[in-house]
Amino acid sequence: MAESNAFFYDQQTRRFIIQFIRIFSGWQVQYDSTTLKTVPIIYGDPSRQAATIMKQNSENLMSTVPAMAAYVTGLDYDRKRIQSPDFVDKRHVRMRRRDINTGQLTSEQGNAYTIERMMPVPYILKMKLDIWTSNTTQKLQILEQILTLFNPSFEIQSSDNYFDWTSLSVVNLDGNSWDSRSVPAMGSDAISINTATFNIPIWISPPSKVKKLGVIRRIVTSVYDLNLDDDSNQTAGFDDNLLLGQRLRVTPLSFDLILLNGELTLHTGVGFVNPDNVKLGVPVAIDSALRPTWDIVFDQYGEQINEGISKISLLLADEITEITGTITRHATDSSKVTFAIDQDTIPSNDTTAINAVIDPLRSGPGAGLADAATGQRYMLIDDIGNIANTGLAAAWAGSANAELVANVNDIIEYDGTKWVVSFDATLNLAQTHYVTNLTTQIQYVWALDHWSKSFEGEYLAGTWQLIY
Amino acid sequence: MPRISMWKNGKHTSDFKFFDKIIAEQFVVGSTGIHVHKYIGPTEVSGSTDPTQPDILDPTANNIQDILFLENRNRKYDVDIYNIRASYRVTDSDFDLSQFGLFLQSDTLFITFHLNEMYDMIGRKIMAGDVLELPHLKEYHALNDDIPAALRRYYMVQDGSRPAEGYSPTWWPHLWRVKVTPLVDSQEVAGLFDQLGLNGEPRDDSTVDPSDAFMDIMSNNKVVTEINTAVVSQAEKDVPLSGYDTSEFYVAAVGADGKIREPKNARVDDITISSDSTTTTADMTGFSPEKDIAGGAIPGTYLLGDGLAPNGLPVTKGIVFPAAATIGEFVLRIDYLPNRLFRYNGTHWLKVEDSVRVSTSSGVGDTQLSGFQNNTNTSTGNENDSLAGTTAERQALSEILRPKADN
Repeated sequence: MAESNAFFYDQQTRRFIIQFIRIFSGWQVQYDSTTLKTVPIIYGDPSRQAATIMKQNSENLMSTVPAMAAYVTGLDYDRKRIQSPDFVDKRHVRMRRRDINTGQLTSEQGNAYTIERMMPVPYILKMKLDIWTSNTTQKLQILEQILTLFNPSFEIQSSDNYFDWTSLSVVNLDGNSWDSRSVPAMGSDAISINTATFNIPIWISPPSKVKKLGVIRRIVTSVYDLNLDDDSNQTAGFDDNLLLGQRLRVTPLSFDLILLNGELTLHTGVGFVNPDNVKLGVPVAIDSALRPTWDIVFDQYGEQINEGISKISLLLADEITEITGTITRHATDSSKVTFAIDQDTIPSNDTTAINAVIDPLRSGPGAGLADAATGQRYMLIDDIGNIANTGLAAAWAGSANAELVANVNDIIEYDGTKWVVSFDATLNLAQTHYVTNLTTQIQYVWALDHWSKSFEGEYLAGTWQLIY
Repeated sequence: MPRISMWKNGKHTSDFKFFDKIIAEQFVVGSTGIHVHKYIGPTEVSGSTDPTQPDILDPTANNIQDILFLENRNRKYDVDIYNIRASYRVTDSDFDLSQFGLFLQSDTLFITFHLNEMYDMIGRKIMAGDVLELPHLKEYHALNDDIPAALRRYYMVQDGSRPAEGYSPTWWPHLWRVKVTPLVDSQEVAGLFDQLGLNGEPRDDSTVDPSDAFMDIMSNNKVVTEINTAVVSQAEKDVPLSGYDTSEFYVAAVGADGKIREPKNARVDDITISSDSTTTTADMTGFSPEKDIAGGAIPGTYLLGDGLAPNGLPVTKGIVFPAAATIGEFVLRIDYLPNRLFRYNGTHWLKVEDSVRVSTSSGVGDTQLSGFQNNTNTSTGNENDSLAGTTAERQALSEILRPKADN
């Protein structure tokens, strides 16, 4: 069996019928100087069972007079009002934020949406209104009141939704038939019914699309200032490598990010951190007076984050690897969000883990460090030994009493008898490597000429993006 | 020997009386009892200035209430109920599913009474407008078991005449036949049912039964009114006010440069502001929007004005502007019709929007329907004016500025 279409029914015509009945509700006739009777109106094409229920399944229950009944007599396609059938209207709207505790609307910006509306289809809804009266005066009283509404039309509305462009219509009075009986009516059926005929130009619409606001979150452009007068550039305009190599990344408001201790802090530009600081220590705190709040960023996206679901993606220095993590608002500092990194996105180590990062001039095995054992690995933040100096660095001589000559950023390893350089920084200038410090569980990356934390640190505008 | 003749120069002979007695006896033996609610005339009318609807001070069955349309709309019925014998042919009837519910198709009966018995009891022949109750058609098994009384079967007399079969050999008529149709709950019989109790008999004036209890049961008026009310409730739910609800939309405070205006020109990237600033504080709110949606913040502004400030910002209602106002403050002037929303820009109060969204239901509101049809206002004339005194604003064209009696 073929798949079914998704069911859709918005009661569009039903709502117009309801509003049509509303027009004729609440009118009165005067019995005498002190008595007014409200004329009820119901839908005039009841099912036989419903009519039976209303009559208590008895012949005896009396029908009330005067009364009105409205019913549909036709629903015809209106070709005269046809407009571009494949037109899709697109609207963007920002909502006010709703307080999740009280449910009340606040004055702040909430989520934003893009709404796409398909061109609705024009139809003419034909209605009849029967007015049953028991005497001529009664009939005139009703007609004098309701016929003045139609000159020639009465505006009608099926919903108050701003985006429902099919909600507005008019009720046109086509004609009025005075009586269902022939004159003189004496002796014939006592039921006198006046019938008014109306048409309502309506639109029937397929469902719309409501999507979270589609905004540009990051722009990556290629800009190359090409001077074709220069012979050397005659072919450069067709060089993809050259063109794609000139990339400019843009994010809203161009804020930079600091990731530190599982927290993301916005800052507005250079001057607050020193990107050239190659030390492994913690940078100075960003001046709190100059940190923008995350709400400013969220407002640009037109929606609020989903706590623990919305993510931020960070592009690492290799411009290939991206790490992501979910974010939640900071409890006390609106300039921060808590960042729970997705462990699967952390780059894999390609270098055996180290036991610690050490200054070899301050500590050594058995002197501030554990006794030397096979497989121990340390990352150095200072040089040790000198190729020109045959004097032994006793702390690093090992049981073999061998000379160790290592440079800053090298990783040394004990092979059971002596210390050897396992990672020679001077030989790995063009490659990226990752290693984890077992003491702090911090992963470091070899950034071509120095070690730094693999993902903590500063991310400039364009290297991060918000994902809802 | 005189010739035998049943006709005796127009006299009701003993032959006639014999036949009449025998026929009356047949009614006693084989007919059904019928309750007759006797029409006694239209309700009293006095002080009429319309010759076509004259005063009726001592109503009788001879009066006609409206001599233009020739109809008696408000009728009085005898509080006494006459029980009289009559017969009719019981026929099958079929339901007609019409727009007003179920009618009994061809449920027109021809009921025959004994002429003299009827006259002796009622004082006249049964006429159009009399109401008959057929007790043997009483309904004990309505769908709703909670109905506190049996549903009674009423008919309205449409015509009366002497039936052809009602003549004896004396050539005098003995029968009266009326054509009746099912009664409806109408203006004409409102007076009758107002005086009946739940048992179908004259209501106890000590108000044992509420005045409308009888018709709540016997008529479908209550149920169709409830249905109508439910439909209108849904209509009001779909469209509580004319136009469109934009209260949930956020309106940005956009400046002339198209950029969102920030508090007192403080920008987040302004590094000249220090933390010890006393003019730029962390709790500063943004500028209020200069326009609401209805005022043009969103194009296509038809029937959007609701008198509410954008983004739910506070609005002061009043008939004057406040003496001391701050930039961005909103005031709704309720002395304007429709009410008008203003925003203070530092030097002037500028119009934001008019509150044009109104209820379209029946009753008092701000629509033309409300302003003319449902206008309940009054006005007071000048003392020197011949129209001095309080008069209703709503007046018929034919009666405008005509003096009204003070008493």
